[in-house]
Amino acid sequence: MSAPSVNAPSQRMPRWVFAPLALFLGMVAFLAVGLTRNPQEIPSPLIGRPAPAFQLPVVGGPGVFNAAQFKGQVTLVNLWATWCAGCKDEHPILMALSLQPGLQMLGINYKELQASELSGQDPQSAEALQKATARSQAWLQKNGQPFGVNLLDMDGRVGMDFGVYGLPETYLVDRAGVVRFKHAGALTPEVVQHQLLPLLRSLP
Amino acid sequence: MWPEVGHMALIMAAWVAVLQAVLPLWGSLSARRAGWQALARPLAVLQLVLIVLAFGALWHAFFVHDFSVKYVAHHSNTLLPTPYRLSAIWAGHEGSLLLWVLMLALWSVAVATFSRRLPQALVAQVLGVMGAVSVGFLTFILTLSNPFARQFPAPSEGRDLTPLLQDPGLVIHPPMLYMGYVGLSVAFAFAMAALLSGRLDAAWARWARPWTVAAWGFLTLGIALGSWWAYYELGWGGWWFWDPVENASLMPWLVATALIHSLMVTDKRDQFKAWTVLLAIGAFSLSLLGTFLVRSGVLTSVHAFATDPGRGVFILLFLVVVVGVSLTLFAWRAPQWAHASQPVAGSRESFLLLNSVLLVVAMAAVLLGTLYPLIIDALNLGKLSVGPPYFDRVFVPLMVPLLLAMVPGTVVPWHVARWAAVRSVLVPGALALLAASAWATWGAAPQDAGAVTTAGGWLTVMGGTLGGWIVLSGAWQIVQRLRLPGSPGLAWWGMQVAHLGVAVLVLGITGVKSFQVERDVRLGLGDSVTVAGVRYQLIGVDNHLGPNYLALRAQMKVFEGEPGNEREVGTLRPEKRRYVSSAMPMTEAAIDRNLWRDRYVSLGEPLAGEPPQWSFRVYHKPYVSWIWLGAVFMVLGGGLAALDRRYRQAASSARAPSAHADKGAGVSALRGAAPAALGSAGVAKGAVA
Repeated sequence: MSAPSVNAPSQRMPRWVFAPLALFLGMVAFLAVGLTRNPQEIPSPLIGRPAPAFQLPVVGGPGVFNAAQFKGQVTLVNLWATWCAGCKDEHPILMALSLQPGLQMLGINYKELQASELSGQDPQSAEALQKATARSQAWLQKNGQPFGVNLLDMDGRVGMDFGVYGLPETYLVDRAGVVRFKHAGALTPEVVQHQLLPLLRSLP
Repeated sequence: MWPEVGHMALIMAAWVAVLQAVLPLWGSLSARRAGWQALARPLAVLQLVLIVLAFGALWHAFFVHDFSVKYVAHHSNTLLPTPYRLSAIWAGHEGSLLLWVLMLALWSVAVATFSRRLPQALVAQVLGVMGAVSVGFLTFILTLSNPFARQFPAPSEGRDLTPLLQDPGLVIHPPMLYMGYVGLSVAFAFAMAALLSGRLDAAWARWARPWTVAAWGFLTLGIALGSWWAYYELGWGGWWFWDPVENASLMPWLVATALIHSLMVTDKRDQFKAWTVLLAIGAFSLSLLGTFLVRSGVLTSVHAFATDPGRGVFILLFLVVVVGVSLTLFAWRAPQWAHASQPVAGSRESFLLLNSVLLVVAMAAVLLGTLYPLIIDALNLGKLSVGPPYFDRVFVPLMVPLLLAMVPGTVVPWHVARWAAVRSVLVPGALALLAASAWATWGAAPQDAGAVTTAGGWLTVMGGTLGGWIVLSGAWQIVQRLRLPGSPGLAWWGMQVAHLGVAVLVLGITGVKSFQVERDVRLGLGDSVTVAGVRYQLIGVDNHLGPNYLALRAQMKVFEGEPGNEREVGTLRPEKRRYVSSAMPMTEAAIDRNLWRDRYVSLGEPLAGEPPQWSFRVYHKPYVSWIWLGAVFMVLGGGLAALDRRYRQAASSARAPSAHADKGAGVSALRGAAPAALGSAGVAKGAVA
């Protein structure tokens, strides 16, 4: 040892030696709290506001759905697409929710045909609509049909009004047409048990 | 059967790691069991063999498309080309961790092999600590992240590798980055050995240096590869996004950079001891923190890995154990090392102290920016994100004095201030200032209407001067040195090359930030756009079928020269790919590179309407390659330095720490370098003023 001081290390500890440890433990406290939070959970500005107004064609049926039809019953709005992997994961949950009495299930098939498939074609053209309808119906036939009404949002404008930034996304709209709940990403049994169902029960 | 073999091998590796962590350390601390120290090397080798077996088993599963292995089914597909099938092993969480422990085992065996001249107790302690780290990670893999988990019935087809990762850059980026992350565990293990034994002298620093420099080189390479990949794959033309995961790799890099410089002071001057140990702990802790941030999902990032709260809890506990134990040991030992004198202002030590402080403050700024959203959320103050403006504003002012100190720091002698030495490099500095001013004035590309450009200004002059000064004074130093007899040694050359790399990097960043031209346009067939005096004409857009994707591919002819006197110089083919299995759209930018500029075109969305049009983003990016070229020089410099013979000299011949004059300098024994550096930047500035 070259050190000129041969002090026993335990003689007197200056306070600064604990600074790194203290800083680190402080950071760990924040990290621990951070673990209990979900960064993906971004409060939607829509909550507490009326659902956006829109009008979209109903898949496989005549006519259109008008956002005014939200009024009078509680509606679960699910934005999905056949190309979305998370949508398949949450599908059994939607199937179970569709058995819930007094809940209208509304599917919005968001941008079923993606830009690269359209290659410049108008997404509202008859041909594109037909292709999207066929694909949407085939997928629901195979995996189960939870939706009372399923709509096609070909150009994604309605999704945009809802503020969607990734599929799937789920909204709960109350009898007055006001958005009460939003969940981004696939629904999980926990979200349904702890958030959605209690909220549903509390709604008049 | 192979997946089960791999699983068994991992379980055995975990037990071997336990033995490696316990027996040699015990042997080194107890005279009666001294013989156990000799077990360190064979156990490290055995652990490597077992982990290689596990890794090979998982590779085999990928190769033969064994979709009954869940991990394979999630990250591979029968259409996936073979090279990507093999690199898919580190595409997900479980495989990445397996790669982590493989790297750790490789580093352990490297230490075991190249440490013949080190004292046996030191080797036993270093390998023991590395074994302990390995125990933690292997436990994590076996309990919460098993890559060999089966699923029945096996799906007939896998989900495929994320298209983002189907790229040659991404095949080698993670292994290099992990080599760096994990390599820092060697420096950490050396620090722990010093804390356990209380032995920390110049010889210790000299043994630790090549390992640290090697790990730093891999980390540099890994970060550079990631940045290069983001540049051409994300289609935004950017090369650094201050994404939490990028920050997670930058933070250990900054501290490792401080560490390699601080180790030099400990080696040559027997000073900064406590500080060096703290940096070694810090660099590896930040690697672990990076792992936590990426794997636990506490932050949102483009590198979204599937997250699982149980995993986050495990890594956080592991972090607490590793860092908590090491910092507690540090608090116990450090007072004993904090006796060294304060460096003389203007001496090389004082510049290196400034280097350390600035780098650590820069790391703290990045850490704060990265964790700020989490802190705000934890305090229930809302949700927010911290973007590039914060980082640019904080980081650049810290880097300027760092770069400014680089040149004088390399020319002044140890221990004394000699301003004559600094004066001698003022001429290169003046030349650099002149050249940078000329660059800022005339360096811009021809302007054209509608282009977004950032013209050169005082930032160009500043960046150009700093980079130019380092290059010119480096050249001047080399010329001076070659006139002297004798060889300066590889470490010296390594320093010069690495510093040149820093300068090239700074010049590249300055050039591209100052003179880049960007245009967003919509083009129909036959339409043109002129960017920086070059005309791009859209010739056609067609569908193109890849091995596992469909692509929309545009063809653009590039013309140079004045209108009327143009010549065609090439064709660019940007693509928009849609992978069959995931339907995820991917941008494949087309880039025409040379040393002086990149021409970068990315294809956006097809636009509705008649005639059809597409959106394009066209960039003229001058000097952008210099960013990665600079990184290559830094890596080369690190490689040269790590190979210096001086580091491999026998332990016994370690020069007795020179009886330098500062022993009697009359500085209070307890006010050492470390507290000064820890205290505040103000102290450090005082030391250099």
